[in-house]
Amino acid sequence: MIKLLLVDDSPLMRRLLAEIFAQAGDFEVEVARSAEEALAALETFRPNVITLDIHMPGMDGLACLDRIMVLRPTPVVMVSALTADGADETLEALALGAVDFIPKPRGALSLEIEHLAGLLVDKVRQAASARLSRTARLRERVRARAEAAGAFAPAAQPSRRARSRAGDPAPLPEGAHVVLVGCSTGGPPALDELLGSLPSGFPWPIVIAQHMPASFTGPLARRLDRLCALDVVEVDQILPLEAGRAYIGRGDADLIVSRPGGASSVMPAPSDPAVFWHPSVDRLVTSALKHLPADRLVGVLMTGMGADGASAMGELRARGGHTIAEDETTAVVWGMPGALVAAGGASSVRPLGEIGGELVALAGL
Amino acid sequence: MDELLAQFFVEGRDLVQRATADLGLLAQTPGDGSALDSAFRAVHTLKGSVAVFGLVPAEDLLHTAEDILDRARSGQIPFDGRAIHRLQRAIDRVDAWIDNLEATTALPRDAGSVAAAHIGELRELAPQLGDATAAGEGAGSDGRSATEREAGDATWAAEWFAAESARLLEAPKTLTVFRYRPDRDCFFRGEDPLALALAVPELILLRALPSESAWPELGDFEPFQCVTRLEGASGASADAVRAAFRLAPGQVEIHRIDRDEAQAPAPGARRARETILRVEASRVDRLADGLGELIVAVNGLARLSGELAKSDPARGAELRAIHGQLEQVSNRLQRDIGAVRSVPLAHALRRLPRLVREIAETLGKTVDFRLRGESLEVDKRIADVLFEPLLHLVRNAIDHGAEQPEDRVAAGKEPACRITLQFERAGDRILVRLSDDGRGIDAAAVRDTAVKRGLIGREAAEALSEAEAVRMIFLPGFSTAGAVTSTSGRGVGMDAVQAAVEELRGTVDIASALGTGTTVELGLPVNALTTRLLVVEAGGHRYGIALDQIAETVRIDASEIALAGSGEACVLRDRTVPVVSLSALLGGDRAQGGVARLIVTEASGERVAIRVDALGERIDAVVRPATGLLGSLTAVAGSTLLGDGKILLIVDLAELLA
Amino acid sequence: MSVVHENGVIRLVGRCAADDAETLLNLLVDETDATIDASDVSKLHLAVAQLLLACAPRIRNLPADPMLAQLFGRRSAER
Repeated sequence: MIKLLLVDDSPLMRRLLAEIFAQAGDFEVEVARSAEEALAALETFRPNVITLDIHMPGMDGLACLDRIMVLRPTPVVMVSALTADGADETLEALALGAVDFIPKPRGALSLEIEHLAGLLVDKVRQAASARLSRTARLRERVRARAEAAGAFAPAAQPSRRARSRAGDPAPLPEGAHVVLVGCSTGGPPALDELLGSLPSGFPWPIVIAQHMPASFTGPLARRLDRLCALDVVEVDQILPLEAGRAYIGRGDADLIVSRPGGASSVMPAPSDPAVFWHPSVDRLVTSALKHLPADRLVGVLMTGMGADGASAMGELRARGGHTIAEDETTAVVWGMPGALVAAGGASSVRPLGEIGGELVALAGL
Repeated sequence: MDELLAQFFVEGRDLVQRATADLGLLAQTPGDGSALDSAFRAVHTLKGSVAVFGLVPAEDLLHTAEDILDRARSGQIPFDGRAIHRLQRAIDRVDAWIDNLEATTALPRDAGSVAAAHIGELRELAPQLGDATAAGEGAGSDGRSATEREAGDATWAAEWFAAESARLLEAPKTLTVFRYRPDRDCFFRGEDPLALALAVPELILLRALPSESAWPELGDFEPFQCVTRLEGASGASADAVRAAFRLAPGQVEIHRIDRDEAQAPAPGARRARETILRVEASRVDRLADGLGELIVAVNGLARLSGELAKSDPARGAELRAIHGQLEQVSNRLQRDIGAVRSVPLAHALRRLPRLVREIAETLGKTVDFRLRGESLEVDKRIADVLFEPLLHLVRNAIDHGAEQPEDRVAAGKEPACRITLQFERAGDRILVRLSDDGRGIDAAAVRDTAVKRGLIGREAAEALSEAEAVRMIFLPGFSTAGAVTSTSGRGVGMDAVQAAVEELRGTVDIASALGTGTTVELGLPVNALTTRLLVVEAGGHRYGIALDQIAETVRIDASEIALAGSGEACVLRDRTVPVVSLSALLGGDRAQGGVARLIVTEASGERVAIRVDALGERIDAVVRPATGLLGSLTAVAGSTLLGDGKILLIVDLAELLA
Repeated sequence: MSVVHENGVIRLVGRCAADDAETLLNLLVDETDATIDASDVSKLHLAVAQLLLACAPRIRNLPADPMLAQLFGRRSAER
């Protein structure tokens, strides 16, 4: 049995979530009505996983999460509103150590809830067995606090769009590679670490498919842009690939590489209904293989549930490209990279902290 | 699921109560941070709860409310009484919906549009909010209104039909045309607008046009952004076509048009494109009637709070505050309904320039007619009623004012008589000024005519000033022209104009200078719906008097009223003013008592004080015109229903003193 | 495969879905001399149709479906 602590100030929400998890059969559920009750339950109930609402009277969800990570580090899944504001708060929570987030359940009187309930249970079940790296959490917490104190205030900059459209884009250097990154659960903090370890002069573009809802990828790109030396943009239109830029695929859509007029570009594409996760890593890698030689592509598959990306990255390696899978020791959920390793599709397997170094070495810096 | 719903009814109402209490605190202590936080959380949680049950309108509304509170928390928008008021209205609405849900297991059918109205009102508080409020992936949260937009004209279809006549040979005479503008991101939602358009029943024509002026160059093409608009014609009914587009609400215009008429559009008949919602006028009138009754009910509250305050000042003050709020809301509603009823004058007057040309031609006059300010919007009733009197005035100006061209030239004027009809807004009144540079009105001739027709004695006529003499043309039965001409009509003089204008609670004045021209000025209320009344008591009865007939109200010692000739008078602001008793005028006893309460009015330029027994409250009322028995009483302008169910007669002071 | 390039002709075959717009755009840009044969199209997504409309003069054969052909017919005739 998985011991689950539900923290929510709304009795309705507690009841609904409790019902959903009770029906799953493998959960032992306890509820807390406030952050204070949740912290008390850490020792008495000793949960394997916690779902946490952000807005609560008294101590709010973020503060509660911070305390949990200090007192008794436990996998936490945030219950978030899928709005732009919700996205910023949720990304903040992920940086503070939350493993994942689930949308607030809705449509209880319709069939929608059936679909959602399955997703919620899967995510929370996965989170229960997620790995928490204590040191990383500490570092993130310190930075998150510094950020809150204004140390990382975003500088006023002209819009990306204006910059990318103004003048000719810096053409991709002769022989430049394109790095393709796929990640899901645990991805945002992992991207933070990976991109943070790359120097601003990194010569290749980095194209990222992070599974997320549409309202989250814009805030994610802005957040990473603020925290990393590289330029980070959300792909909300055709963008030419440029050296030293990271491209985050728009949520709920797919991300593809194309070459209209001969210039390698990325663009959002309507999501393929045949697959569940978007932006699809498999589709991104397949589109890149269509337009670029495999030996100029580097695939990176990081933390996430499921197996998205494993098959296309396996193909990438088979055709002469280089692939890196995140090691089991650092992946929050070793699903996607694990599938790639199991299929023999990984050129190398690295802990998160070393992936950046390998990319820098491949680029010959 | 029933248990969950039961939980929701308890929790939802609890949250409503909490938010209400917090807003109440904020009203007393603006800027109370913890109340603001608490209100935010209550609304946030409530939003989550309604979403659980898929109550999309409630969710959208609460989402906007949450946004406003959040912005207020971060100081981005001022959190004033207006914001509190509107948020409270939104919360109250959700509360009512919860009741509705419990009673009928569903939201009211109009919940979507009601929510949209509230959302619009809330967004005014934070104009920068824009569309950023779309609530994630929820259905119906894309900010589009469910109301289908219909554009004012479909002349685009006419040219198209002309070019496609070959394909239309077999088509029905009346077609449904549509213009479908999918938004740029529609492909990302899995939509295929072309498939949707091709599924329209009985499709006869279909074309695809670039949504901007031209197709993008291939080099600039974004392959997954929609840059097309689709236009088509179908033999099916408008409803059938609308049904085919039910998945693309707000993006499709649909018209029924007759091919024959459409193919011969009159040049210049193209109306400016405007997005309008067609509503029967009677529905708006019903709305106005309902509002009238609401105002009556609200006025009842004023009286009650006054009475309550005597026994329980605290509760009285509370009730008065609620009354104030209700009054604010109903005033706003009145403005909004007024706006719905507003139409540009230009529309009602569109025939006027042509009629002016015809009249001038018939009379052999040359006229240079100009309209100014006709884009002004007025209540539809005013626009409808105004046309006839204006036409009459213009006729008079051409018939009696304008000289023959040769006479004008001889007098040193341009050959064409310049007639200008000008509209202007002054506060809550509309000024209509019709001026001509014609021969003007001869005051001596007016005096002669008035005397000849027995309207006034010779002596009295000679005693009038020039301006007063000219005003006699408004007297019933007056006509200055030597002969009754065909254009100015028979037996209908300026008195008809005056009657029509007064029916709208308007005023008429005229100024004329012999040889240089005449100006007639009408003053009309912008809003014809309700009248602000002062309730007075006289001879044991209550009467209403329109506030715009009252110059001031004063209270003096009865001893200051002195006998003057056959009547009474008092001195107000250093001027002697005649005093008349309202009850005496109405056939009762003369007012008595040590303190005299006076209403000062102006009758034909003279100040007159009317003594009443008591001055009551001021109310907004819908005055029903006097009909039946009431209509036969002089000086009764109409009646209105009071909050206590009694009928209040409205006294027309001008008529009473005439 | 619903977008095929052979012998200087871009052929659209069967059901053309939104995805094909990207393939078609690349072909249209790369093969500026290629003409388009849409006679075997059975279904056309607007994403593909609007690309064709933007380069209507290059269409050699219109779709067999009369209503789809109507979308292009006039434009070709105008030029």
